[in-house]
Amino acid sequence: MKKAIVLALSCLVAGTAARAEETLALYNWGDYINPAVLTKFTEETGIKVTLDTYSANEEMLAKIQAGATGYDIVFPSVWMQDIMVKLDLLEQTNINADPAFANIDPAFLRSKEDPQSSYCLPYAWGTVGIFYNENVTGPIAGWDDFFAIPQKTGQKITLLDDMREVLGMGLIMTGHSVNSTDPAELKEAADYVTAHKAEVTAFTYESMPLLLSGDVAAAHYFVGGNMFFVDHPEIKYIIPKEGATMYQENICVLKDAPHKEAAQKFLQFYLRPEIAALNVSQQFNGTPNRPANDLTPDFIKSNPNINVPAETLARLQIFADLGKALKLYDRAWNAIRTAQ
Amino acid sequence: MSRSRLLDIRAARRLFTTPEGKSFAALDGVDLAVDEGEFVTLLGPSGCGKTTLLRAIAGFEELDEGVIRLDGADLSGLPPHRRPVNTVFQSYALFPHMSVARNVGYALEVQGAPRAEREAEVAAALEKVGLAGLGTRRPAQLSGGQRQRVALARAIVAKPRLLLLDEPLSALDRNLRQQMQFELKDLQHRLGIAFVFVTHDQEEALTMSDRIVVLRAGKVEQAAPPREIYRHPKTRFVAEFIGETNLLPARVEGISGAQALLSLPGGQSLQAEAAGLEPGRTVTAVLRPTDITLGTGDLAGTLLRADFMGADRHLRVALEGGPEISVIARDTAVLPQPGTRLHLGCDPALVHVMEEPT
Amino acid sequence: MTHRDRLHLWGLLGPVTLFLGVFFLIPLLTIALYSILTPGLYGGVEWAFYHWNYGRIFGWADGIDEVFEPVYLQILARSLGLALTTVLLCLAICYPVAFWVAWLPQRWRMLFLFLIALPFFASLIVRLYAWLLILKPSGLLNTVLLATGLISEPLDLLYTPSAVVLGMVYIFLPFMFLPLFAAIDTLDAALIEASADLGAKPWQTFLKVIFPMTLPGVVAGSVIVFIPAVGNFIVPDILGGAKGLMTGNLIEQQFLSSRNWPFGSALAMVVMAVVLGALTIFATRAKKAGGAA
Repeated sequence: MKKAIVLALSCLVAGTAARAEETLALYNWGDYINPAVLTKFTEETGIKVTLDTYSANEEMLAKIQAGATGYDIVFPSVWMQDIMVKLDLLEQTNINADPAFANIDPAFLRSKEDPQSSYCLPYAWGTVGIFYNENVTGPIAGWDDFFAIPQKTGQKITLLDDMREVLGMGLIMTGHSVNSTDPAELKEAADYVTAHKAEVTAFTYESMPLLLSGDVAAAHYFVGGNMFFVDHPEIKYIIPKEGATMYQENICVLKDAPHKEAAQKFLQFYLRPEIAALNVSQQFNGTPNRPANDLTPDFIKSNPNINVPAETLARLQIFADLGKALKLYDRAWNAIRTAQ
Repeated sequence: MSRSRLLDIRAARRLFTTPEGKSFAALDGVDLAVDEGEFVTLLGPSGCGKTTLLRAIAGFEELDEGVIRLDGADLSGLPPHRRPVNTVFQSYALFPHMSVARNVGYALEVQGAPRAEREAEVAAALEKVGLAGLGTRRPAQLSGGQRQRVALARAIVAKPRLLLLDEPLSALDRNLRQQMQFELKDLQHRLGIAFVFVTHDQEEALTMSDRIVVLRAGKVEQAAPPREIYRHPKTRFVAEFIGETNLLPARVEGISGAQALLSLPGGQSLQAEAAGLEPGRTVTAVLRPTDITLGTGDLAGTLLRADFMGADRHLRVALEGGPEISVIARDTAVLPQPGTRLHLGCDPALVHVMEEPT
Repeated sequence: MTHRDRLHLWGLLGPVTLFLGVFFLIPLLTIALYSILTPGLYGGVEWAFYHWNYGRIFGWADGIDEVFEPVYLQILARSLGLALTTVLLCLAICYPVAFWVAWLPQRWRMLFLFLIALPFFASLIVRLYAWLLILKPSGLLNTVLLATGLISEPLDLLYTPSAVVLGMVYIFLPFMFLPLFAAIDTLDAALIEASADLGAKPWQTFLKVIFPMTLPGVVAGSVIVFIPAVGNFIVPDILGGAKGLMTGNLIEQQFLSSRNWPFGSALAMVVMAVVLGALTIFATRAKKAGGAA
C-alpha cells in the first residue's frame, strides 16, 4: 500500500515537473513592488511569478523559520537581513560579481553581515516623515510643528502604529540614536511621546484615506504614501527638520529556494536601471540604482523629499537589530500605549 | 336548587384570521351562564370554540363582541393575572425549574403571602390531591398522573372563584382517566368551586357534569344536564355527537291520547310520546341502540351482521323497506345468523322525536 | 468489559479524542511549554527553563533583563472590563430582540435570522472599516446628523473608547443572539400563561419564569461572547486608534515586533486561567440561581 502511494506520488511529481513552466515565488511586503515589473520579467524570461505578502519583518522571519518552503525571494529590511544571515537562512548569490552591480551606490551596502553584497541586492529605500494638508495646517517643517497642529487648528494628527517608528521619533526628538539601548534615553523618548499622546488621535497605518477625506490634517507615514496624492497638490510630504528614520530593503534569495536559477535571473533583471526606475515611478521611493534615478519621472526627480539631497540624507537614521535590548523598547511602547 | 349566578357570558364573539387571510368566528354569539359550585362541561369536536371560550374567561383572549361577567363585574380589559379564576392547562404547564411545592405555592408566592401560611396551604393542597410528601420533587420526576394532580393543586391553592380545566385528562391512559374523573368530581364537591371543564370526550362529559354545553362552529347547540342531552338532543348534531344513535326519518301520522304514531320510510310504524307533536309533520326519530328490544315489537327487519363486544353484541339490522339501524343487545348463548328475519321494538317513552327533518 | 466492547468504545471515542488532541490539546500544551522557556533572540524559543515570563507579570523578576511591571495585570483587568461590558450590552440588546423575533410569523423570522447571519459572509476587517467610514468626522453618521440639523459640529466618534465598545458589541451580537434565540424560541408559551393565570404580574412572570427558563441561553451566549472578547485586538486597533492597549494587542506584539514568544505564551496562559476562573464562578453562580428555584 505504502509503496503504491509513493510510486503514485513520484509519478505525479515527475509529471508536473516535466510539464510545468518555470516559476518564481516572491514573498514581499504588501504593495511594495510595481506589478508592471513582474509582468515585464515574465514577458522577457517566460518565468511565471507568484507573490505573497507580509506586513512585518518578524512575520516573514517567523514563517521562514517555521519551515515555510516554496518561497524563493524575500525582501527583508537591512537589520532583518543581518539576522537572517546569522541564522543561515540566505543563499550567497554573488550578485556583486555581476558587471551591472556597478550601478549600485556603495552607500547602500549597509548590511553588517553582508558588507560586500555577496548575498542580497539593495532593492529600495525610503523615508518616514509627515504628510499634511497644507490648506489646513499651513506649511510645517518638523515634529514640533506637527504636534502643534491640534492646538493651532483643532484638527487631528496620527502616528504610525509601530513600536520602532514611534519610539524612533521620540529618540530623535530627545537627541538620541534610534538604536539606543540606554534605558535612560529610552525613558526620555517614551516620556516625550507620552507627553504628546493627548494630541494624537490614533496610532494607525490607515491614515492616508483619512488625510484624503479631510478627517485628519497630518499623519506620520512612509514616503510611499505619495502615490495616493498625485492629484492632490495640497497634501505635502516632508522629512522633518529635526530628523527622521529611513528604511532600506534588499532582495535576498532563500537558502532553500526551490528555483534558485530563476531567482538569480530576477536579481540580474532588477539590476537594470530602467527596471528599478519603473518600480520607483509607481512606488515613490528611492532606489540605490544610480543611473535609475535619472530615468524616473520628473515630479519624482524634482521632489527633494523623495529624491533626497545629500544634506537631508545626513538627518536620516536607519534601524539596526537591537538584540536583547528589544525588551526595553517593548516596555517603553507598552508604557506609551497604556498612558492615560 | 337555587344557586347564585357566578359567571355570565353574553353574545361572545371572537374572530380569527387564518394564515390564508380568511376570517372565521371561533365564537359566534355564545351565551353561557355558570352558577356557583356548578360543574359545567364545554363539549364539542376540535375547532368548535370550546378552548377559545375558556381562554376568553381566563383572559388570554379578548372578545371582539359580547361581555363576560364574573360576580356581576365586567371582566373585559382585565389581564389574566387580575382575574379570580385559575386554569389547569392541557399540558399542565408546570414550571420545570421549580419544585412541586413551589409550583403549588406559586399563586401565593406572587401574592406575597407569608412563608408559613404558604407552606401550610401547599401541604393542604397536596394532601387534597393525594400527593402529600412529594413537595420536594421536580415535575420531571413525576408520572403523568402525578403531574396532573400537581397542576390541579396549583390551580386550587389560591381558592379561585372559578376553576377552568382545559382537557386535563386527555394525556392520561384510559384507566387512570376514569379514576381521575371520579376524583375530580369528588374534589369539586368538597371544594365547592365552580368548574368549567373543556373536553371532546362525550363519555367524560356525561359522567362528570352538572350541565353540558355542546358547542359547534362557535355556537351553542344545546345546554342542558347530561341526561337531557342524552335523552332529548335538540339537534341532529347533538344526537350524533353524544353516544351512538339511530336517526330515522319519520312522519307524524296521528295522535291518540299521549301516543303518537310515526311512519317510517318503508311503511312500518313506530310509537312515540305525543308531547308537542303535530300530525303531518316530517320529523326525525332518535332511537338509542341500547333501547331497542329484540324478539318482540312492531318493527321487522333482517339481520345483516352481529359483532361480539364483550357483555353486549352489536347488531346491524336492515328494517323492511327502510333504513339500517344499530342495536346493542345483551350477549346470549344462541344468536340468529345473518340473514335471519327479526322483530324489534322500543318503549315509546324512550323514542325521542326531533322537529328537525333528517 | 470484553475486548470487543473496548474496541467498540475506542471506535466511538477515538475520532473525538483525536480531534480534541490535534485542535485543542496540542496547541494548548505548546503554549504552556513555550511559556516556561527562554525567549530566542530572534523569535522562537531556546530550550531552557525560564520562569521570569511569569515573574514579569506577577511580581518576581531579576530587575536586569526582566522587570516586573503591574501594567500587564492592569491591561488584563481592562480587557476583562471591556469583555464584560460587551457581554452586558449584547445581552441587553439581544434579549428583547430575540423575543420579538420569536413572536414573528415564520417567514419573517427566517428572514430576520438570515439577516443576523449575513455579516458572517463578509470579512471582519472589512466590516470594521465600514464602521470607520461611518464614524469618522466626515463619515455617514456625522453627515446625516449635520444635514438634519441635530448637531452643528461633527461629533468626535472615531478613535474613542465608545467606538471600541460599539465595534465590540457589533461584531459579537450574532454570537449572543443565536443561543439566546434558541432558548427563547423553545420557551413554552403555556408557562408564561400559567404564571399570569396564577396571578403573577408581568415583572414577576419575567423574574420567576421567563428569565430562569432562558438562563441556559443567557449563559451560553455570554460565554461565547466573553471568551473571544477578552482576546480581541482588532477592534481596539481599528476603531480605538490603538491608543488603549488590550491583552490581545499585547500578546500579538510579543509574537511580532517584540519577538518574545515565551512572554506572549505566558500572557496567553494567564488570560486563559483568568477566563476559566471567571467562567467557573459564573457557572456555579448560575447553577445556584437555577437550583435555588
